[in-house]
Amino acid sequence: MSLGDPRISNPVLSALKIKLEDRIISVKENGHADSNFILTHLIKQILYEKNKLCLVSFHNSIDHYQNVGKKLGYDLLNAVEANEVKLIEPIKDIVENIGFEENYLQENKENVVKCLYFDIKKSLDELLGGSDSQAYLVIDDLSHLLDLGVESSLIVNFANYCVNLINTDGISVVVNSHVSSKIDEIISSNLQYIADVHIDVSPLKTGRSTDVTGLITIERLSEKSQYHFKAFDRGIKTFHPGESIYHLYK
Amino acid sequence: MLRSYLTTLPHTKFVLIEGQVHVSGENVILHDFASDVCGWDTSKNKEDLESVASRLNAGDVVIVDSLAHAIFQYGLAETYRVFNLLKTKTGVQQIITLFHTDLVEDKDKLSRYFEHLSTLSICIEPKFISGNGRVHYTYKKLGGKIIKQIEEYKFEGEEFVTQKIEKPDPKKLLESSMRPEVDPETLTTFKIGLTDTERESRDKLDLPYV
Repeated sequence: MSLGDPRISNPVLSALKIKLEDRIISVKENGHADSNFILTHLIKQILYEKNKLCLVSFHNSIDHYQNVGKKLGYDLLNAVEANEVKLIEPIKDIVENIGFEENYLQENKENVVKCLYFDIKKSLDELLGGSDSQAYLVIDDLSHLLDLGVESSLIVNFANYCVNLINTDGISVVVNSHVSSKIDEIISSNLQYIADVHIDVSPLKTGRSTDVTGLITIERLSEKSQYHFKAFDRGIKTFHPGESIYHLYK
Repeated sequence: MLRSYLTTLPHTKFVLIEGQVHVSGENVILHDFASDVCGWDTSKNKEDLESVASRLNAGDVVIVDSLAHAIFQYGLAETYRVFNLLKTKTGVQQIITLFHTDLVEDKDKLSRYFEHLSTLSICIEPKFISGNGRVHYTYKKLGGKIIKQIEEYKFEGEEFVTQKIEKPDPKKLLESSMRPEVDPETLTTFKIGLTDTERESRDKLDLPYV
């Protein structure tokens, strides 16, 4: 493996150690923390490994992903042109439907998630179409379906459908959910039970710090590891809890 | 004791496991209610939980994974009705289900409904002091007697071993918590203690009160 391999050189990716066998990855964003960097770093790994990506973004605009991607070293829009990435942008559709009760804003909420599921399935089929590579479905983030008025049981069922996509060899699913209420907990716990890897991003319990932005906990069946991380303008540094002084003030 | 309740014949009818324990059985027929929950995939012929339940034969053991998801799919009333049907139906030997209480709102109410229906309800508790897992179970005997117990469990290879939690001996606890006597003279090279004559003269001294 060369030094250029971000799975080794990048602090976040080398901490996460996501392999091809990790088919279900759940990310939990607690309280005021921002777990978006986990997704943007995973996208870096996916593109580096020449795998395909279907990105469903409820939380950030595609411009955001493009900007962050540029800072991390990849060009998302180029990858879209090259048919390596498919984007599903509910945010854009919702803006266009304000005032009309259509699509994401329609009354029948089961229809909302059903259509989204079929859109995702279609995109993944197009991405996989005959090639050998792995296609990753990245959803950011599931708790926004609650904001759209979809009830929790429907969201759990929708998540179930998305997770069942892994029955097709070659598909892996990454789902991010923000948690700040009991119902959010239910949705996130549901994923946590079935995930191969569960990544928890929380703020520090004691409050804000200039040295440490937050805590990442990575849980697999066999092991659990924790890292503190500090977010910079152009990247993220990770280190074992308590060792910030060695890494930040060399 | 828990192990014997789980294994004695006739098998206890409805085992409700709350928490995160997996149970497996032999000659398993899988009824897949997980992959097409809402019937969006029109190519598959979706079966109803109730129709599957009514088709079960004598001697069948039903394992439902998981109760919370069944409640999501069918609603509380329908799920309760199906389980009640399974329980009262002669022939079904045993029903085992797993209830993830953190997946439902109002878990106290829901767990009470299903605990009422169950004949053995096992609740996984957090570990305490020892490294073994803990379970809190309620077992309803056929004669009407109800036994509630907290036990520890562990897996020794393939064996599932349970044991009652031993009450720690108070004498032993006292012994281990009492710190050994420390002789103050040995603490430092300074003379800290008083000899008997020094103690006497100190006692005799009248302190001036101004």
